[in-house]
Amino acid sequence: MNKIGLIIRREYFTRVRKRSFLIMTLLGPLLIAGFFGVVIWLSLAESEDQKMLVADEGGVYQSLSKIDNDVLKVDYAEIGLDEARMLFKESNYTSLLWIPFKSEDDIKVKKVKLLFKKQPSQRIQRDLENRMESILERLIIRQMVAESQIDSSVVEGFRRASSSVIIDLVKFDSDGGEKEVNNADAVPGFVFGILIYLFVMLFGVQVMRGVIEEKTNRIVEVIISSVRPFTLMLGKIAGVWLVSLTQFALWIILSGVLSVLVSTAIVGANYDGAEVAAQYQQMTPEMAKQMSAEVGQAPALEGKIIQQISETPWTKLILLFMFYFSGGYLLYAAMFAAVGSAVDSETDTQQFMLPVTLPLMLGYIVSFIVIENPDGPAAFWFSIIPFTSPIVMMVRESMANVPGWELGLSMFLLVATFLTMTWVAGRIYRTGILMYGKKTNYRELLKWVTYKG
Amino acid sequence: MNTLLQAENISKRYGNHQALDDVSIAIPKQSIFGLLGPNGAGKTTLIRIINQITGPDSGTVTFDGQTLSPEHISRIGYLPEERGLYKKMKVGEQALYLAQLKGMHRREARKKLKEWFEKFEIGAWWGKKVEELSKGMAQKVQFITTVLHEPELLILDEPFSGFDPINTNLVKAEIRLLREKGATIIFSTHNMGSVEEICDHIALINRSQKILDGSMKQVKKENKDNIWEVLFTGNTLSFTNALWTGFELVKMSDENKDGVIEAKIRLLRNNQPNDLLRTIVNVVNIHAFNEVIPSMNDIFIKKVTEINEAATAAQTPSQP
Repeated sequence: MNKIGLIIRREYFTRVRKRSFLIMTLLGPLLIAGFFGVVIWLSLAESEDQKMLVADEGGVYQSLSKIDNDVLKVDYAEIGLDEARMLFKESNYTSLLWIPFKSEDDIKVKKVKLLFKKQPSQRIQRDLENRMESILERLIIRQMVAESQIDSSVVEGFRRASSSVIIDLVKFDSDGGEKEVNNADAVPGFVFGILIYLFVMLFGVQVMRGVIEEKTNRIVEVIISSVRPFTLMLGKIAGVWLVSLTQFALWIILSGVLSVLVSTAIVGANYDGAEVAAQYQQMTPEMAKQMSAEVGQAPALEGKIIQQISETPWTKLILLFMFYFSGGYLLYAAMFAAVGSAVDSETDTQQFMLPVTLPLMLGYIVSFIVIENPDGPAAFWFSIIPFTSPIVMMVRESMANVPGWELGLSMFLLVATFLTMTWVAGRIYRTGILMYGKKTNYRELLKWVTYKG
Repeated sequence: MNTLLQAENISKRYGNHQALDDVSIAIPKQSIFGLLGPNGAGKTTLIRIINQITGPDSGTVTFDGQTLSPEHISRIGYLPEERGLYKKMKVGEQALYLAQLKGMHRREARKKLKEWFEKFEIGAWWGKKVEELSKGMAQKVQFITTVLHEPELLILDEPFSGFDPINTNLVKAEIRLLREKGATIIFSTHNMGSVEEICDHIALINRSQKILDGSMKQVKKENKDNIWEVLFTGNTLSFTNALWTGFELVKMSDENKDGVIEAKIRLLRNNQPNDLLRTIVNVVNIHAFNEVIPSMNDIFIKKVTEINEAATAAQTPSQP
């Protein structure tokens, strides 16, 4: 077996055999599932807590619209504000909506009041706003109908004709391809982006620790009398890379098994979420959208998730993930290795860690901007710059069809940069691993790069 | 060709620090070659160049008649001064790994390792982690991994540090045995006692320059101070008077309990030992007479101090 093979083998097996690897492998999917579980649970939990009292003095509300749904439980009462306040105070209602439309003049004020004990979510506020707008619209129309003696059915026809337009956002490619744009499309890319961020951090630091370990153990001089320092560094980076891929593969397998188990459990418990999802899948997308627009998004959440999962181009994303994770990892691992070689102990790494981790964090932060505007200048530049591209491009690619040349350029630059960085890191590494007891600064590092063989 | 390794005109600079300045050494085959010098003189840099860990800025190294190249790595064994093992790795596994890195086959390495472990009576440690070993034990393992692939050139930097006297002797015996089997050994140390004991050639490096080299005998001969030691009984005053011309009394002890006095005398001008004997034979009773051979320790200190004083003098500007 050649020497780099031996090194990779050692790096790989010592890590995979560690107890911490086993624990991470088992806990990882549980933590991720738990994380998403908590997110979903929190968004659903709201529905149980929200209970609204509508004080509708004019009695206009109930006759026109029913907003009772899973998110919000509503009771109506034709009472005044003061009386409603008393009732609200002693009851377990979480909010009180006061609609003061007693006369025609009141309607023109276009103002209602919402009192709450617990701040309702943005979604409910928006929902209420829409609803009140439509109620007012109807009331005003009704007045106008009464005044101008038009047949109310004609007006109703107009109203229906004008209401709730849904814009289908479709991205049109230069080569004629069309793709519907949906913010939820960003979710898989975003998850992959976060995974890249986490994995690069986690395993990059492992490379750094490994280098420091060899240096403080003083075994490094023995080894580099047998192999070139560059070979040792590459072997370590490659070994840890294989560990990360193993971990990732195990997570996917475990998550698959886990999700099958969980969904079986859910179906077994006769949870209507599954039913809703099933119903939802039988609808056409237009019907589905209509439905979510009319009843609010909550009941369709599970359905939406399932729809999203089935519509995501997984093969493409996973291939891209493999590429961008590997490219990003190799780039950062080289830097981490250089940092590890330049210090005597992990506590000394602080001053060099920031410039290494900062671009990585920047990529993570920029991906939030990219979700808002996947084709903007920020999205473009940060998905081209190799230090941020692994994360940003994942998000961009899952949302919009990135032009081929941009993707190509981004990939090319990433490969070119990691090769350059590996070379530079190798030069720092080669000198650094034999330096002891000396505080290193950036000028020193630069000097090492220029030292002759 | 009787030289295994020849380094010629080696210079190496790290930034502003000149680590080696035009150093040449030739290491005869099957010798134990002492590479000596104070801390920071450039020994480790020279050793690293021979190990191809780093390259010289200028100069050439030839190994067994060929220019030193990566294919010689498996023919060299290196025990660095600052050494260690992977703490979490098992002893046997680690020794196998290091042997394979030197180009040995796994099976062959395992067989040889078992033999060495038996010899050093550490067979029971095969499956233990290095962190469970005492320092001396770890040093033994380290020594074995250095010599396992039967290198033609063995570079040992302070090989006895961390060993108790018993194990030091064990390792010394092994080093001699390896030499008998044909190995050439570069032995770097500050311990002049062990240099006297096992080296047959030496080179002394100071302030990045080689200031002395040759066979041990030759070096000692060249650095003799022409001092003779006389043990005598009798009158010290007449003894001193007798040495009035042509000799210098370097040192004289008091009488010991038998009344014997020990004196060190340097021969001046062209005086021979016989002249000294002739001068004192009628004055005192001579008990013993022998030449003072300088120890390596003396030579080391003398040479290094001479050079350093000269360097300091050159740096201080002289009065006009």
